[in-house]
Amino acid sequence: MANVVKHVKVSGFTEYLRAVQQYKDSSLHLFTLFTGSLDADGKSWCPDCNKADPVIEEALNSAPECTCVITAYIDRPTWKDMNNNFRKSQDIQLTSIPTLIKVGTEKRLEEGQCAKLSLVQMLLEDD
Amino acid sequence: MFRVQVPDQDAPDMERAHDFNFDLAVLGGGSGGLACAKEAAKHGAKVVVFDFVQPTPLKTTWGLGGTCLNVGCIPKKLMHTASIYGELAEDAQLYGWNLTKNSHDWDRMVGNIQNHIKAQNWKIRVDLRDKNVTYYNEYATFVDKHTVKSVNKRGAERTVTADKFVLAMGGRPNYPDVPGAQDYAITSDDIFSLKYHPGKTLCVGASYISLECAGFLNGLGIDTTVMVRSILLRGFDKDCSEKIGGYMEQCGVKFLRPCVPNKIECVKEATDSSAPELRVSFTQNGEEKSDIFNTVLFAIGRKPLTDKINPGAIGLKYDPNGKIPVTEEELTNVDNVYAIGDLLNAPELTPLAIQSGRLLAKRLYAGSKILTDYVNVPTTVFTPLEYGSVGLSEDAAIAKYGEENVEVYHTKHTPTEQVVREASALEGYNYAKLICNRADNERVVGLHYLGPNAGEITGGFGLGLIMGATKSDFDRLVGIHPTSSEVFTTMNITRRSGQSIDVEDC
Repeated sequence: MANVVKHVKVSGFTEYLRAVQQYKDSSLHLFTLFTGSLDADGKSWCPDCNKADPVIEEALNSAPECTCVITAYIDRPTWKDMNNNFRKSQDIQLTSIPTLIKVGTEKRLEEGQCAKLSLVQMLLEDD
Repeated sequence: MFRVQVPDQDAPDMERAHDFNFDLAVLGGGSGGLACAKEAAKHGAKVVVFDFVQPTPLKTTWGLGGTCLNVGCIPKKLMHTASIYGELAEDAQLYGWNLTKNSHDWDRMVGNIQNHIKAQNWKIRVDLRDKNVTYYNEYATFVDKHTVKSVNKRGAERTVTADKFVLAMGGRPNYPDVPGAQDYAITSDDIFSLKYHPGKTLCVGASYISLECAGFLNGLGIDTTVMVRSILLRGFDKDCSEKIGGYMEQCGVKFLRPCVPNKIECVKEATDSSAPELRVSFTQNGEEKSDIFNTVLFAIGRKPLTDKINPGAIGLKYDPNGKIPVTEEELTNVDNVYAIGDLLNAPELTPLAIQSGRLLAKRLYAGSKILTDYVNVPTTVFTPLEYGSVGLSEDAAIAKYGEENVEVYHTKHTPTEQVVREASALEGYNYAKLICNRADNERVVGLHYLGPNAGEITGGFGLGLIMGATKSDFDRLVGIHPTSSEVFTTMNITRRSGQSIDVEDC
């Protein structure tokens, strides 16, 4: 049986900040996946995100119970704006999507790394 | 279980099968060990790396990557850069920039440097996982020549067997046998992540580490003293070493010399945000004295961690100072155990450890025959006056070739970017020299440079030395104007001539 992992899905920067505020002081290990927003068919406009998303879903099935993941969906026009908040934020300094970070640490996986199950598992299971 | 067929050299007609967990186990995840592990894995070997940092007496600890990344080259170069920026900010105003003078923020510098290091620690782990190298954050000790027992920070143990071992544990700073040293003093293992501003600092030792730390601390506006027993930078070119000391003194670093510490007592304990107050008693020129410092940093030498891996269990031979004698193939006296990096009687330099680790793995798993060349390794000391060298010091050249055969070409120079500076006592220290062997067509056997960008300059000229460049080759080279490196292409004053080098040319 899959572990129960808290998974919060938000769209855009403001919702992302609110979600981090909500969970950062909890006892949960907080992660954020920055990924492209989905269309009506559940597909992302970002090809690398489509490759990574199922891998991350799979890794979450065996992640420790104290795991909380915020998935922050970013739409294409926002991402293509080089001055968007995700890129400009000192705390995030996002340079590519998909990116999976452990909030409050320097640990992150970017692009193709997010599609490698062993790397995603290492990030999620790290203490 | 992984299975390898190992031909037994003693019985060439027989093939002996072993059941080992790994082909190769590397003890130590520093520059050398990681390079060796990744290279071996690239050629199909099944590899494990053990790395575990024992905390310092101050409880400082760090992640994967070894001395260079965590408590050595990298934070050192960054703090040196921070210090140089202070100097350049002064120059910038002479170039017309209106800068308001700000004091230096220690916490912000340390925070940014530590964030960089933590990001690198993580990237190394991703890299190992990606390259199929197993990593255990565990402390390994030998049980027998094919077996180690390891323990993690929670005390959980495991036993791992391997066909071959590479020792790459590196070294740690020494503490002197002085009361209070372990209780109150720090070393280079602590300074780069120090939680509080160091305050008035005493650096004990004349090693490059001591002088580099004193240099950047002073450059950050910190009251800094260096305590030296005898000579500066033993093993480096004497002439250049004394110039570094002179320059540092002009920059405001105080020197106690000849001087040794006797005792460190705590006047006021440190807190999480403030340095302690320490009374240091010392003997200077036969006279007993004492002074108050906030931070005392010992940089009096380093010792390899050879005796921490239960070397007796495999009969490993090593010197009393912990250095491990090896063959030119980095093989120890134990026929499946190799050693690289700071464990060897060789320059303690990251790129040399990487080179030896990588070439060793290629010989073990890719049929290579290439050996590491331990001669003519360029290096740079990042003191306020940077010092780059490759090849022999003047004394070593004289000892090797005889005084009559050693020709020394030398010159002073003023870096163009510094011409806006007002006349000061800091002038006249930028210096360069080529040491040549007259008995061998004036082949250049030593190159020394004091001045800005020493690492960038010396690294390139190193290629000339390993290719056997002569003085006439340096003369043939056309310099780039206006740079500091061009001084090496126009040297014409020999020490023998007695001619002064106090000349300015364009």
